[in-house]
Amino acid sequence: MNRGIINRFLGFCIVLLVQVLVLNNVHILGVVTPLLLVYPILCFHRGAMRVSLLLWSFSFGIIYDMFSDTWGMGMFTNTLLAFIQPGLLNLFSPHDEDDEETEFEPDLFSMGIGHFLAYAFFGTLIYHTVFNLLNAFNVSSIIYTLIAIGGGTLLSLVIIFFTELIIRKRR
Amino acid sequence: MRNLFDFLVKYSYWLLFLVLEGISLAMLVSHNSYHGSVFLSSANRVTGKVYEWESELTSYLSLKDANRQLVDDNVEMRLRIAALEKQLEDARKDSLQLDFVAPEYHLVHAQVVKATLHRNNNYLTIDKGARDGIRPEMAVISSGGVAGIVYLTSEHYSIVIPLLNVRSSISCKARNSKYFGTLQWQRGAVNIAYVIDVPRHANVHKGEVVETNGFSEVFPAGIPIGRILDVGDSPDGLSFMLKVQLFTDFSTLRDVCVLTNYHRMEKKILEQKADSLGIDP
Repeated sequence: MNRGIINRFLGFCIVLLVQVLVLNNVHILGVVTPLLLVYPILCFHRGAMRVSLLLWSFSFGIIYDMFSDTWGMGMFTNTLLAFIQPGLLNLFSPHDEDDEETEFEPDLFSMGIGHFLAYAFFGTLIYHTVFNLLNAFNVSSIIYTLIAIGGGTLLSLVIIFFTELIIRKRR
Repeated sequence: MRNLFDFLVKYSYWLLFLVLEGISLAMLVSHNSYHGSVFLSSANRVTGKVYEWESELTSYLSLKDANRQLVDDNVEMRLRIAALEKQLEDARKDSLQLDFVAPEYHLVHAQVVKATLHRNNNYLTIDKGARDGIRPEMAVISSGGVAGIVYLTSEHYSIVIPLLNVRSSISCKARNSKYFGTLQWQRGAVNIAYVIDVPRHANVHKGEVVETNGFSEVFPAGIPIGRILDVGDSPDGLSFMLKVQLFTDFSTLRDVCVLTNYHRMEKKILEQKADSLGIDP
């Protein structure tokens, strides 16, 4: 249990650092910035306590906002995604082993590439949509927002896919 | 009541979700009140430190580019300096005007043709003499500040007692202080001299500029001499002794100016004063 918490904490920290120090400096076409913070939220196993999922995501949303000066956008989006993650996971996880009690960890190999990519795609799309719409309160053009949502989703998905390939293969 | 409690437990995560989203929205909406939320921004200590590390790291990684840029800049500046120096040379063929000397003074531009540095009594020889209007006891100034005093003149050359001469003694003061002392040199370092006899109540500090005080008949007031390196006690302990880093670099000194009409100016002022008082000189 403790080890799980430490691993989760380290995972969040690494993703946060990569996001803040590297990905926040990426601005393809001037607007497209991948948001990798969605990844550790998507990785929560099925049957995890929803309250703890909410609190974890919210906390790292605060830290992300502190680094990025995004004033609540990260907090809001993280919390929202944490709220819908269990439902999303149920939707895309293979139904033959659909047992609510088992601790099923969503990853590329346990879910299958197709299911995992669909799951990650919807999670990432929702995340980018909400984040960029909140952000769009400051930006005038809807075209830029749409580009930011589409580009950010694809880019994040690619990063998540290759990260999964590298991490899970080693195990 | 019990039903309410059950309801709360069952839907606690709904409640938590709404509370957390509420907090987030409140922050989003109120982020204009910047001062209240500065803690939750990159201006707080932890995030600031992380960004500082990042910038240190990335600046280290970009040192190669920075170096190349510096070399380019240097070359460009050297070319510009050469061009400007040529312009300057053309402009000051006869006389040189230094910004800290009032323009009414007449300056004779001279070059140091011989200098000694490591004796007790060092001398400079300059390539202008009596024919150019130079007389003993005239002030010699370099671009950095005071260089010395003319000692002997021949037709075409003059010998100057620089600051680096144990016989040299120039009245001076710290720029922001009214107490004065005497600048003397001790054999050894060619860029260090000492101001002696500074009263102990004089408020002098390390780093201040020492300049001439205008009490002597040689130098006008305000010509820089050097910067105070250390404030120490004189050997007898009755006054301060200031260690001064000289502005004039005697080891590379080449161009100097001699102030030729300071006496005459002074005489003129004195005569005007006498006139105004009705005294017949």
